[in-house]
Amino acid sequence: MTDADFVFLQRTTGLTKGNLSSHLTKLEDAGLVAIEKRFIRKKPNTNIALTALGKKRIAKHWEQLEHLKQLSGKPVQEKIR
Amino acid sequence: MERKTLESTAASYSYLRGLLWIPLGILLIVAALGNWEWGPLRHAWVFVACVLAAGAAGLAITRYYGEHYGRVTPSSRQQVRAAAATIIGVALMFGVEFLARSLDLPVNPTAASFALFVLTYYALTVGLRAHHTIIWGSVLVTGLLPAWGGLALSATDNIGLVIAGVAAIVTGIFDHRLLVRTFGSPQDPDLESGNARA
Repeated sequence: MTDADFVFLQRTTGLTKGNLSSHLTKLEDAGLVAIEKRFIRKKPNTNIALTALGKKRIAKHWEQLEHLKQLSGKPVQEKIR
Repeated sequence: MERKTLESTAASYSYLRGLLWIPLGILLIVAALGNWEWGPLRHAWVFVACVLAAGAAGLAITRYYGEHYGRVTPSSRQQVRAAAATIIGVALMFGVEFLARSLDLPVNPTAASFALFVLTYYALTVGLRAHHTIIWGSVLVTGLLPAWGGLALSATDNIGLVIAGVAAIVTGIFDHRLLVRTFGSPQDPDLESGNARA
């Protein structure tokens, strides 16, 4: 996805609004997401988009998780080598 | 959550907004009834009014989903895939219509072409769910049964529109139920209607 709003992320992650808000603030401070506050039909709406750095980091994160997953499937002896 | 599950959940959101199918399904049925000159639907302006009402209902439903389930912009890759699926689906739809009519086949080209479009579109975008396969597969089989030869072409078309309309409504109900199961009830107490945090 290109971007999503706060409600969609809350629905997808299952986090409470306080928890998600705290995570997003940290990600914004690190320059990984861009947060835009706007109004849609007079109602406040928070839109979140990954920055270029965020996309790069998340790709690396998934890569590392996949690597760990592959390692966990191998026998112990092989892992030690 | 697995990466693929997370990605497919986000991608499927737009397609699971099933209530959007309902005005479309009603419109197809209304079109058939209009062709049959049934009651007030024999006047062309009534159909135009129904199209406008369906458009307004579509906007209201989109707004409802936006407020309760959020808004998301699909990636450019997903948008290209949806556009390609639409083009292929429409081409197949016209292909079936053209073949059936030019060869004077005893099938129902309207039902078959709608079914083929929906099946192709879902298969190429987010993948077919069991209910899509059952509902639209049944419509496709019904449309392709060589049992429509005894009817006038206009009657065949109108019955096809009714079948497609009912299938669209049923698909919408199942899609919406799947969305609620995946993303939770629309009345989630923890969701902030203001959407302003972060």
